[in-house]
Amino acid sequence: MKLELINKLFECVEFGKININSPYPPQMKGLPGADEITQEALVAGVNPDEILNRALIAAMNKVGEKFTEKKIFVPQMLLSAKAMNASMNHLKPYFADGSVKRKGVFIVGTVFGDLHDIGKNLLSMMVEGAGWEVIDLGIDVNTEAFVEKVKEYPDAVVGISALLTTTMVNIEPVIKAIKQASPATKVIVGGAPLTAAFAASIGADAYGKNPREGIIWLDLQSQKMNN
Amino acid sequence: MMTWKSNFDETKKHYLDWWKGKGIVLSMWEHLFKEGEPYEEIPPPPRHKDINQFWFDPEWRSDYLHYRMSRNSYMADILPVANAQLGPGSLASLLGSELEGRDDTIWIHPKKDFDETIQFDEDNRWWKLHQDLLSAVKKRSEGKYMVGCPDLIEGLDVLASLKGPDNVLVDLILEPERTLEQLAEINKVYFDVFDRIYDIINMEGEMAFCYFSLWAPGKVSKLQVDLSIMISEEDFRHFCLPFLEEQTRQIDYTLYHLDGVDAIRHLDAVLELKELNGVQWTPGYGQPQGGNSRWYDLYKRVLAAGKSVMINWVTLDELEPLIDHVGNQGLHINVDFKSEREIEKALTIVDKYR
Ligand code: B12
Repeated sequence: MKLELINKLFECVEFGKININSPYPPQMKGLPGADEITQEALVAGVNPDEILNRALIAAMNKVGEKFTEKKIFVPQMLLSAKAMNASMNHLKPYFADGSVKRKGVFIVGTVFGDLHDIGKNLLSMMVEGAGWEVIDLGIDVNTEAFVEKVKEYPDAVVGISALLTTTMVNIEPVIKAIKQASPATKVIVGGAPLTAAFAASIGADAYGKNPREGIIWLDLQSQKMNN
Repeated sequence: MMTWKSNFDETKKHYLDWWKGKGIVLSMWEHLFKEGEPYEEIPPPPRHKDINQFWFDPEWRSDYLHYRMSRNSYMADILPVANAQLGPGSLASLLGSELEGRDDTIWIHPKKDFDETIQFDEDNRWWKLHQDLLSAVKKRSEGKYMVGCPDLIEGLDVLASLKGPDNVLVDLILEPERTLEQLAEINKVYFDVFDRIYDIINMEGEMAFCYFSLWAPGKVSKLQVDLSIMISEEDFRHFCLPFLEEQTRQIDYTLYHLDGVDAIRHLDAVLELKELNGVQWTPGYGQPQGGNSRWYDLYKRVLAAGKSVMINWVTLDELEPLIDHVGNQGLHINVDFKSEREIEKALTIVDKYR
């Protein structure tokens, strides 16, 4: 029974079934979605930790793989993220009281001067789906806003996105200010025009070509912090 | 009326051929300054008071463009076209998005409280600005150059400017019918606005576009769906192709702007557009520019489908190998010129193939 619910939830997230009223995917029309199944699972006594790890994180991992292999595209991925969020909402009390632990806090934003946010949004959904608490500062984020959040969450890891050759240079002063305020804070950068070499040259700790690469590095940081 | 481009007749011939898949057009992305005297001694306007004046003051901007146009080079097939664009996708501003001028470009912000209705309000201040700006530039030009059509943009990209791309993408799945209706509505407004702009800027029926170095002896436009890099081929056929097809039927000359490696997936569908005249290729980040040998096969594919091709940011040393491999028929080549000397060099190469 419990296993069945976890499998069902996995499927809802993989295929983007948000709740019973959502028309998508057509083959699941009228059936309960991530929202209802999570509630049912909690009532049935499924451990919230298992819901997070065996259903949500595992499913989002599969979604990420399918996206990388171009088997699905951004719309499908967004729906999976929505389904994940519908489930995650029911887990919030357990995050708050500490009975379910996430891997860490990830502060993310698109650098100032830059309005592109689709890539950054996908990244934050995937990172959340990988078990991190995500604080999304949005687009056109200035240095002060990053620094302020870092001060508030000294153990957080920061992700900065840029999509323009004219704005990727804005990342450097942001990293400088973050490191000045909190030398131990790690920063990962990404976005289409960036390269690993560029990331290194501006003092970033890592570069991620896509969310998957980012998550692999983030999970390493989480292991280090928790050891 | 005589323009400041002394060889315009010859250039027009090149364009007429190119639209039919023949010959070579040799031009560049926008302009560089000419050497020697300006065509006329036009004083520069006083420095703009602020960024709003720079972009949004028809008087100031037409004076500024007039000054610039009097000093640009129009050698080879470089067009005498003043660029009075109001941001990439300014059609959205006519439907309720807000424009914000910044140093290097104009930003378009999603419409606040968008209620999913596509409505063109004739009293909209941005529509008034489109008309005032184009009329002012047209008047100032006195026929010495043409006025380029602003980069209105259409389809999914405009819907994304109105309600944010994430919402558009999700609604392709959750609200497909409504999305199709909205796209049909956007096309309607597009044609209405496009025709009225044509009435202002056309020069004896001829028209030019602000970017892409496009001229035609009738209505001309660049078509695009940049958002297509994020959707499946199936969704492209469903949500983009029918509206593009309508555009290719209603506008005399059309060029599809294919942007990024992830857009190549949709090329077959684009090439099925019977009335489409040409395809322009923008390689995107981390990719070599248009003159690189990596893209030869792509160009051949476009040409084999009976469409002309536009190739951007070609360097001088790429020019000859490019024509050798792709052929000398149906190419519009925009070279990244730095000086008139380079234009002369490019001309000696291209003339060998003409
Ligand atoms: C959609 C789009 C827009 C939309 C943005 C909407 C939005 N809310 O995001 C709008 C219309 C607003 C727009 C505006 C502009 N754009 Co634009 N835009 C694009 C377009 C078509 C797609 C970008 C995109 O979303 N890609 C999809 C996402 C999923 O990919 P991604 O962002 O790279 O993210 C992935 C990875 O990079 C990674 N990632 C991203 N960030 C991070 C961060 C970390 C930490 C990690 C680990 C990973 C990671 O994960 C993501 C998922 O895989 C590209 C063209 C193209 N073909 O790419 C142009 C493009 C980026 N734009 C461009 C330009 C020039 C502009 C404008 C300046 C145009 C203008 N003249 O006004 C304005 C700039 C406005 C501004 N100041 O930001 C140019 C940039 C050229 C350059 N060299 O700088 C491009 C390349 C178009 C072109 N060919 O010229 N644009």
